[in-house]
Amino acid sequence: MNNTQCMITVGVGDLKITQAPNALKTLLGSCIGIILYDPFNKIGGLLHIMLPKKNGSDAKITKYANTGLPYFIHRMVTSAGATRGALCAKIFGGAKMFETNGLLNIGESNEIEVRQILKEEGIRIVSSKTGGTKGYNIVFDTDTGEVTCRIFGEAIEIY
Amino acid sequence: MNITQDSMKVVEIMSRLSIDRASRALSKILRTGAMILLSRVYIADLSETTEKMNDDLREMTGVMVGFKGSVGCKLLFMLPVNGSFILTDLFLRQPAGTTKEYNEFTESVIQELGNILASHISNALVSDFDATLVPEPPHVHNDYAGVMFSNLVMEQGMMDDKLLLMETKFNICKNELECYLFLVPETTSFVKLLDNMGVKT
Repeated sequence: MNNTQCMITVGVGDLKITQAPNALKTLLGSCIGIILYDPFNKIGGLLHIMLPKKNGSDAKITKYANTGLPYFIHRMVTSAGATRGALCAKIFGGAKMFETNGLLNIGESNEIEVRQILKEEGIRIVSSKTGGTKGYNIVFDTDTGEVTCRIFGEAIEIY
Repeated sequence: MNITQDSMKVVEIMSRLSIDRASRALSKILRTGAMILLSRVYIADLSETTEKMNDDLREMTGVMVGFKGSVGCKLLFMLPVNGSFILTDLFLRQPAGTTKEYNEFTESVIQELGNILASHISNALVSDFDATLVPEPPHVHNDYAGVMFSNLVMEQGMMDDKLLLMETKFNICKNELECYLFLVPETTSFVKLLDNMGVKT
């Protein structure tokens, strides 16, 4: 990270959008982290979804893939000034964590829903790392578009 | 989620009593002073609280226990991986420094400690507050602190954007062990319990 760069942490069910030279980071378990990036304007965002579909009445739409992802795309284009056609996606997470959660492979369901929505929206997934049983630590550099990913107990990889 | 100040005080007293019991049980089993102190009971925003925890990249060993019954609840006890070696030696009455790596003994000890903590916390709530809490088998996991915490709050976070969180500090005599114990009750059933006790929520 260089001197002018600001590191922004994203919580569960949250969305943050920024531009170069800032970086976005989060930790992921069964949740999925979706990165949308406009490489021409160097604008990027990170959405941390918990569940595939919204079915309750709670207010936070960014917790769910089916409501959070369309909102994310809309915000990238209308508020942040990204070019719709230039957007590409990277997805991470979706691990199968503690069995006590009673949430049978929620990570996999999250991933399926995210891939489906991105396909419908015509946004290409340029790289991804999903599944497993351990947490993901990801850092997205909006200057280079690179994502540094470290799965717990494994080596760092760049996507 | 709306809980009055008075209700929060009652929740704090309940937490203090149950954690005190767990603390005494742990001291007995480890044959050394183990003190768990309730640091705070509060309503946390799901995204804000996990955002803070997501900055914590320490490698931890954690045990998660779910409770079924009239009050659904989840408990997470976690500590840095190397701290689990100290607990293993204490628990197995081995000379300090015997355990040098994470192995099946460490996993068993952490699992057992999760069981002990969960049982004593539920016993206190059952006997003092007429609740039914049955601990489920504990699950041990090694991961980033932030990931473990996110998993703890996930189920409750599906139902509400706010969480009722009980956070504790944990000291083990003569050892600089930083341990964390979190309790996340299912809000709806917890409010029902308070109502049954005559506390207006």
